[in-house]
Amino acid sequence: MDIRNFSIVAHIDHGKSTLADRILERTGAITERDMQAQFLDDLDLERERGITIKASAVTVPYTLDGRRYMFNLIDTPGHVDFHYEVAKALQACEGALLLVDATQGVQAQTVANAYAAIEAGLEIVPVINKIDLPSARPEQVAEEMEQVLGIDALSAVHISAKSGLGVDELLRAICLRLPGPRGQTDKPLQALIFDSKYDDYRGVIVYIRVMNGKITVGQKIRLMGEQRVYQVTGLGKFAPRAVQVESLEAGEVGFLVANIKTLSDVTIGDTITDANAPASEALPGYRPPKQMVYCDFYPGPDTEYTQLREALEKLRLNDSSFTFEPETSDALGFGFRCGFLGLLHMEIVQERLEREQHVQVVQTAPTVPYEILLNDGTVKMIDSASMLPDLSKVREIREPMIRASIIVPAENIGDISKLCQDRRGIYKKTEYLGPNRVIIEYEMPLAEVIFDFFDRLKTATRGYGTLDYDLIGFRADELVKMDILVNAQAIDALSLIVHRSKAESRGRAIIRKLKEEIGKHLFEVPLQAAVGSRVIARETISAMRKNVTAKCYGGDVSRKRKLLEKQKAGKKRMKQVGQVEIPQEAFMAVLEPGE
Amino acid sequence: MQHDKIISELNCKNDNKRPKNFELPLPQVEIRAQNGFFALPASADFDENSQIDALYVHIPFCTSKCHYCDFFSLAGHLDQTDAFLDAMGREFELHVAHFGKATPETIFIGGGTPTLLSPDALSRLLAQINNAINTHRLTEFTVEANPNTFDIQRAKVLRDGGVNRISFGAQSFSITELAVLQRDHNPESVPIAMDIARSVGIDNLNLDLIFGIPGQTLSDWDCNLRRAIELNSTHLSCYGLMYEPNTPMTARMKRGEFTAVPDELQIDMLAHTRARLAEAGFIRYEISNFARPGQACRHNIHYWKARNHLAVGPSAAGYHSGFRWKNVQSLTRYIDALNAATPAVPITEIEHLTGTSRWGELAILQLRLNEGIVLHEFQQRTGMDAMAILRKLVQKYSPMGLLALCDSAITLTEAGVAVSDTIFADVLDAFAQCGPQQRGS
Repeated sequence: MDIRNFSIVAHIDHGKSTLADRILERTGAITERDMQAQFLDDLDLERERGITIKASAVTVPYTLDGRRYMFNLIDTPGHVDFHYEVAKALQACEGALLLVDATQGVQAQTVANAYAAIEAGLEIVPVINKIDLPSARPEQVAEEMEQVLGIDALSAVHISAKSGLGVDELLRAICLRLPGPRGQTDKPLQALIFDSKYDDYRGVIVYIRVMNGKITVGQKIRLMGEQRVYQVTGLGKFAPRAVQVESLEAGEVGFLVANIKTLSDVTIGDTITDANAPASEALPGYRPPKQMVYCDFYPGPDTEYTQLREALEKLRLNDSSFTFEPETSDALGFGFRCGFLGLLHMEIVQERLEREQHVQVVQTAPTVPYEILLNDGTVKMIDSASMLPDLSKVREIREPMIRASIIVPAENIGDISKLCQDRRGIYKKTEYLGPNRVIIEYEMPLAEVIFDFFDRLKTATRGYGTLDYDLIGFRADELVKMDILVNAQAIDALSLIVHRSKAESRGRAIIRKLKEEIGKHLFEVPLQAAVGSRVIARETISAMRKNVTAKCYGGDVSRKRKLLEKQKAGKKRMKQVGQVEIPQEAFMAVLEPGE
Repeated sequence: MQHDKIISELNCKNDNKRPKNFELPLPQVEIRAQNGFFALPASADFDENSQIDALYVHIPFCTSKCHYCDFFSLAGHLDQTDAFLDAMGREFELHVAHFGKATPETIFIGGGTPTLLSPDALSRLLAQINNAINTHRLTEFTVEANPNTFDIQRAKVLRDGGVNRISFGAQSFSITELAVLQRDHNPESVPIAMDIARSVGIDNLNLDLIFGIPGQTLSDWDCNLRRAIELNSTHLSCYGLMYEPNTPMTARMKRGEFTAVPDELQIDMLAHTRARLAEAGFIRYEISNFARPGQACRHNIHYWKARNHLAVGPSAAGYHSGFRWKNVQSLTRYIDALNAATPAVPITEIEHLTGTSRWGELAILQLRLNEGIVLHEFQQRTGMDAMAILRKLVQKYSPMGLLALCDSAITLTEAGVAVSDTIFADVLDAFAQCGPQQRGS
């Protein structure tokens, strides 16, 4: 039987999940009746946001011209935060369907995914979707693909995943144009872990692609990166329901269970080999997940600290790529410092906590990690401004840099250049995708991007701009620590690291926001932003002078008392810092845009 | 540990609407519902040796609805006076049957505009009241009056019915300001009405005034105060205009028809009122109330000391031993309930405050009074050491000049009065939080 291991890669909403459904349906793997729309997205949240958070793989048989094939369709996450996961899923394939919406054309993640597929050495079949829509412009889109990605425009398969139009032709292309796997079963075992999930009954389910050798039930295996040894207790494939198998051979895709308790024991990209007859080297490109965005989660009004901890632990069973550590803040009490792959990942985790674990969280503004070069030459990583060592010992503060690829209508070049330059971007290049659209590249500090950059980009381009980015390392700059003082007391949860040139405008914006959020007290509350001992912005919340009920007679008493109780209950949700009550929203003040 | 029972709005069947802090089972205080209304609280649950000190009677009729008013009142409907008085007569009977004949020290007929009733109707009302109570302890009997609808016949009827105090809704002596409030009277009717009252021998007179009317300046307010002082009443109630929810005044402000007087000016007016009236011999005994020595309104003081009072009429609220209940806020439903074959007091809300909730409420009511929380009296009545419970707040607020501890009483300062609701919220909370050692027996 011929194996075809492939992924569908696309920009968000270009129809990847619909196409996956259609392939499953056409190959007879599932009937229309038992198909939930978009079979591969199995979290509510994923379906709602129209993105796929975690990769999974489905094995389906297909027969073309009397010849039998086994398709392994490997799903990839579709967002900038999951580059590494995408790369690993692609590494498990020989081919990729590059799916582009005929009405939208090439977008930032189309380019990023296409490059990732090219980098992984995959054979690419360009697919133009939604050709039945009135606004479809398939020829133009094909030209864009040729111009930007160097993909032969004539080779594109035109389909409508929704109606099924052209899907048979696509299945034929999968059989005939994608290569089969090249591994050898008689070599020592090398299997790539490209995803893992947690199952309440079976523990961790590890998705693997066997590159070389053979894996069998009962075999003792070693995870080469993590250096852990397990015994395989089960192997299987999702077809799309789980089917048990005795072994998986070179070229095959499936899952294994091996009594692995937690997801954090397994790292995506790690290589599985035989514990007794190991391969001489691991598969290339393995690295542990790297958290690039951090924020604090504190228990919300009706949530206990222990509840939040349990919720985080449970969530981590399903998502090992975020981290959490206990954190204490003078202002917010006991909570957790959490690390995420990116901003979207942070939002997803927060929403899943609230939706699936039913806890309320107060989230502080996101920050990036910094590399601190000390005078003695040692380098220290910190993930919050409060961890910054005594500045007299610090030689350099280095921040994470990204290379941002932004695709926008040509008419917005000026706006985007200005936006990027405001965000300390360094211009790299501009390329035309067609007469009307350009891809602009900038190097920018990540810290500038996690701070309302997406929104600005969308606004400036009326929704047409798209962004993708890659981390390119850490770079030193004139970074300073800014403290925010409320009633002369520095609020640790609000201090931040900021570029010297931006300190003043950011400071002013934060102070202004705090002034809106913090209510009047019975005394004046000064608000200050300071770099070192120098105050760079200040505001004062004037004292409350009037809060009095003029009339309170027999019939009024209950109502007035209840109002006062409500007023007090509202305050309970605030955090008390010294004599000042700060509402939780204020801790997001750092996110307010500067001038 | 005691828990507070709050049952409100009978027709609210949804248990989820209860406050969230109900975790433990409620104490079993039986509150039976009949005819769709709550029953009066049972005397078995009352404090020992407690008596009824006051009676409130609510007359819901008005000629028109003033735009700032959130009391229950209806313009027109005077044709229903007889049915209304029939119903009220039944309510008195039910009260007598339940509580026995009360012996109140004070009576207050409010509204609405009680003096809108015809002299005959007023006479009938007063007879009903006098029938339903023992009058030997009665020392103060107040009726609210609109200066416009007050005349000599009504004055005589009131006097003959035992009324010895009249509270006039003067509000302002400026036609412009009255127009803003949508009051229908002419300011010149106030001195005339006062003369009429005095002429029949009722000389214990109050004027209600409102400050902070949109457009009003400090000197405008001072003019009002001077005019009120000239008229030589025994009592003045001076209310900062409150924008109550669901009043036309509030709606008009939200629509931008006018802007509210700035807080700073309101506070200046409040302070000015106290100073100006002090010069004129009025003592402030409550946040908004000023009286010549010995002329404080005893009836209202009963409210602020959470003393037991009965209340009749639609929307009227009674209180006894921690129970507070309220009649239906609808003239039709009130009349229907009491004129039914099996008449019922149409109670639609009732709550039972116990322990720290009850005494926390007493504490904030007392703080409205100039005398404040007199510690030994409070201890005697409640068994609780208010100082122990409020120590932290006194320590917090006295350096800020908002609370004072003097002569073994905790009181609000002038600055404290201006922000009293903030302080009250903390006081309620301090009581809610206090441990058993501070609660006494």
